[in-house]
Order: sequence, then C-alpha cells, then structure tokens
Amino acid sequence: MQILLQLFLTFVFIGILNFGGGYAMIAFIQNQVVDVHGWLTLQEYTDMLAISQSTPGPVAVNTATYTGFKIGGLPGALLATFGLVVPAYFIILGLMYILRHNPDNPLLRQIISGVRPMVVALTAGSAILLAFENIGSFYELVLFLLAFLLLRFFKLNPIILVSVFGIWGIAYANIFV
Amino acid sequence: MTNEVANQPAARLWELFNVFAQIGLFTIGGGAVMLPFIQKAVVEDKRWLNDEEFADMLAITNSAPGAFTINASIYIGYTQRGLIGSTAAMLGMVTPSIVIILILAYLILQGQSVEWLQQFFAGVRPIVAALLLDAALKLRSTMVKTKFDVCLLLLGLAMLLLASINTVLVIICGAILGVLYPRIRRYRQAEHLPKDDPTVSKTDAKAEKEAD
Repeated sequence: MQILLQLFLTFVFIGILNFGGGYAMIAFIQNQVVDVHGWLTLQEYTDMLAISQSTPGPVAVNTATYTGFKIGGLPGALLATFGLVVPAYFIILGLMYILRHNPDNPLLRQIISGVRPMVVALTAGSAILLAFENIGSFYELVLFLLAFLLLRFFKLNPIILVSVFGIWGIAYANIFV
Repeated sequence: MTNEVANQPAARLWELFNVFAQIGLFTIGGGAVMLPFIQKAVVEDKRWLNDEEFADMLAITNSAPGAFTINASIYIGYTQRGLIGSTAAMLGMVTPSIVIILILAYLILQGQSVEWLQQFFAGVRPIVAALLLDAALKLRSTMVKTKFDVCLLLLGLAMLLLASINTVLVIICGAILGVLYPRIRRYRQAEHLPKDDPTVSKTDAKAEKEAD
C-alpha cells in the first residue's frame, strides 16, 4: 500500500516538473525511477525507453505505466499514470481560465504572439533533429521523401500513412532481408 | 476565445474520447509527433478549433509543464464540454498507450520477444520527420505572419539546432521578446526615429494593432 502511494506521489512530482515535454525529461525521470527509488535498473530503463519510442503515446506516460506495472501490477500502472496527469489538469485549466477572463489583455497577447513562432521552431527543429537521427541510409531517405510527397501533395491521412509504412517495415524485414 | 463553440453543437463525450484515442493510438515516438494528427482531427476534420484558436492552444500547452499531447487533450476537451470533456479527451489520449504498454510489459517480464514491433517501427521512423515537417509548414501560415515572427522562428531554430538550448528556454525567450518588441518600437518612434522606411512603418502598424 505504501509503495503505491509512493509511486503515485513520485509521478505527481514528475508531472509537475516535466517541463519541455517527454524527451527533455528523460534524465529527470531516470533520476527519480532509477537512482532515487531503484524501481528499475539502468538497463531496464534503457530497454523501456526503446519500447516507449516504438509504441504510441508520450514517453512520460509509457514510463509511468511500465514502472507502475513492474512495481505494483495493474493498480500500480494506473496510479502512476494518473499521478502523472493530475498536475497537467490544474495547470492547463488554470492557464485557460486566465486567458478566457482576460482575452484582450495586451501583455498576454504579446506573450502569446512571441511564443507562437517558437512553437513552429520547436516543430521544425524536432523534424530536422529526427531526420538526422532516423535517416541513415538511402532506403530510409526514399521512405522519408515518399512520405513527405504523399502528405504535402496528396494530403494523405497521417494514420493511414503510419499504418502502411509500419506494415511495410515488417514485410521488408521478413521478406527482403 | 469566448465564442469558439457558439456556432456549432458541442462535441459528444464519446466523440472526444474516440478522436483522441485514435490520435493516441497512431502517434509513435511521443511529443511533437502527435501535432500533425491533432491538427488534422481537431482543425480540419471536426472543426472544434479554428486556426487562431489552435495557435493559442499550441502556445499555451507548449508553455506548460507536462506532455504536450496530454495538455492539448485537456485543453481541447475543455473547450468542447468543460471538465467532463477534458477528462474524456485525456482518457482517450492515454488509453491506447496504457493498454499497449501493459501488454508489452507483461510479455517482456515473461521473457518473450517483441521483434515484430521493432520491425514496424523501422518502417515508421523515417517518415516521422516527414510528418513533422508537413505540420510545421501548415502551422507557418497562422503562427508566423510578420517579419518579427520570422526573426523569432529563425532565432528559435538557431537556439535549438546550433546551441541545443532547452525547449523551455526557447519558449520563455519568445515570450520575453514578444513583450519587449512593441515597447522598443514605440520607444524608438518617440525618439524621433526617421520614418523614411515604408516597410518599417507598415510592420509598425501591424505590431501596434496586435498590441492594442
């Protein structure tokens, strides 16, 4: 029982300080889960990250579910994940409340107008970083260009795109290699 | 912001859950990767938010701690159905991850192989960059309008790619410059800056309009 409470509180803590999204916080989550509490070994944590990156969902959510399951079974998985999400509720609804009650506040508008281009920079920046990280061969470059073409000029649904390329990945590994 | 749901009926709860469950199910790698999916579902298909509201949502959810996608589901759910809506959307977002991770954690702790998953991912990995690039190009029209916006975008990219600066600092930097810029403009105008450059006064008028 005590360990469940500890799981919950640790992931509430991670949820509050999880600034900058999943990847920025990998080191922080590692510190809490591996170094402070010893719930996972470093090897387990690294394996878990690899799984996180190959499964849907935010890395922080996946880490919470995996760690919680290993330590406390199904209740542990649900409590850890719930703990991670709770702070986001208060923070987002609080920010929305401020914005909705001061829709024309010049200072707020100026802050938002400055943040907007930075969000585009973050998106384009992660596209470029991921391209460098994940496109290492001619084959991968072809996949990238084909996907970009289908998205940009044929407006293909991203969900269909991911399914098709994923199934192609399995077929390619089993048939051609 | 105040009348965003006035012109259409609010989304049903299962619809919110369902849309975000699909987004949650198909976005591999986390974080910014989900952005194009959310954009397509929420702005293009369901029209829950218009481009401007979507841009506000991105600015706020990226400035707050926590996973961007969880924040976005809470925000968008709230605009449709208040607190219950945000819960439905958030649960939709995390349910696929939780189910899949539970199954995999079970298999892995039993010592079984999950090689097919890595093969699936090998096919998806190169196209994630294409998804993000497409999203950034779509965002550009609403999020980057003035010359000042372009400067901020380039500054942000330089900070991220050349200096590997933390994303939080990039956001904070944008907020501070957004606040300072109209003040500097006004100050320079007051300081009898010659107004012979037509492009300057044009962007000036825009910036003043935004500020007021």
